[in-house]
Amino acid sequence: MIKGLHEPLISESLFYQVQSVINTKRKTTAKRDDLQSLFFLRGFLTCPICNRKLVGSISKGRSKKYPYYHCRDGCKTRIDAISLNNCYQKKLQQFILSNNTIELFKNILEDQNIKTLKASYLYAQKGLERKINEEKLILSQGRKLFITGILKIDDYNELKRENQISTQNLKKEANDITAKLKGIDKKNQIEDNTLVKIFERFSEFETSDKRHLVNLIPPTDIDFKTGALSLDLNQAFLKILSKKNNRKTKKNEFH
Amino acid sequence: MNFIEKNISVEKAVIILSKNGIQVDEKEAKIILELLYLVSKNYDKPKEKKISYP
Repeated sequence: MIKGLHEPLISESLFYQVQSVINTKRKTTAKRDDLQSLFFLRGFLTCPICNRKLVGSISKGRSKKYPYYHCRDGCKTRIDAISLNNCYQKKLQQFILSNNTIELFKNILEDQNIKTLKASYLYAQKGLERKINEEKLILSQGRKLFITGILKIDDYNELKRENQISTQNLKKEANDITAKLKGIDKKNQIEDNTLVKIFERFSEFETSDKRHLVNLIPPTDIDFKTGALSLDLNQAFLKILSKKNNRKTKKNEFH
Repeated sequence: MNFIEKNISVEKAVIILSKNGIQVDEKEAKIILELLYLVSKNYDKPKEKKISYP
């Protein structure tokens, strides 16, 4: 540990306490990404009998594997994970962004696209322009040396050939970037009716994002026999989301 | 990394929503921004092949 000049954010003893926790051998559960993805509702489901959190695991059948959310230590609660996951996704996708929120969402998309991706493409584009100009300069200098007799014809031709190949490649890269920039601008002109389906690609979300979303919109009133569930939408989300048929939900929960 | 840089402030979100007839307080705007940034992060991802469950 290196002693700094600034005031410490945490005490030395707390630092060592945390280090000892980090260094202890701990039991890691659901470490594998595929399991995390398969049981993305894990931690948000409570056993209706014993009130404990359900866990997820896969039962091996004769020819197939069956993933379940289930309780432990003799408690028999269990439910098919796929159907519950699908039910959650289906319920979620019944909601769209209300028209009044489109302006804010467009601002956010622009913030994500333009300030990150577009900026990086523009930076690369400038770099390529600079390199193309450098190539032009090299050829011009070579030509001068050839005229003054310093550079032989064979060497000049070799230089010219190399220069042409290099410039062609740089121009190809520059064209690719121009196409990508056009693509970004096109994306920013997405029609509003496509824009509102914000949960449409939920199945392609990263697992951590899926779980983040489940944390924001948790399942509730789960029927462990039928697999039916409701979504617990808080007041803030009720203001910006509406059902696909444009009827606004009036209750706190969507059934 | 799961970090999302947010340049739309809570105050700006309150103003934009208010302009569109949605009245929210800062606490509500904060959670709305959290949801919309989360969704926007996954919005433009290239389409992937559907993974089948075991």
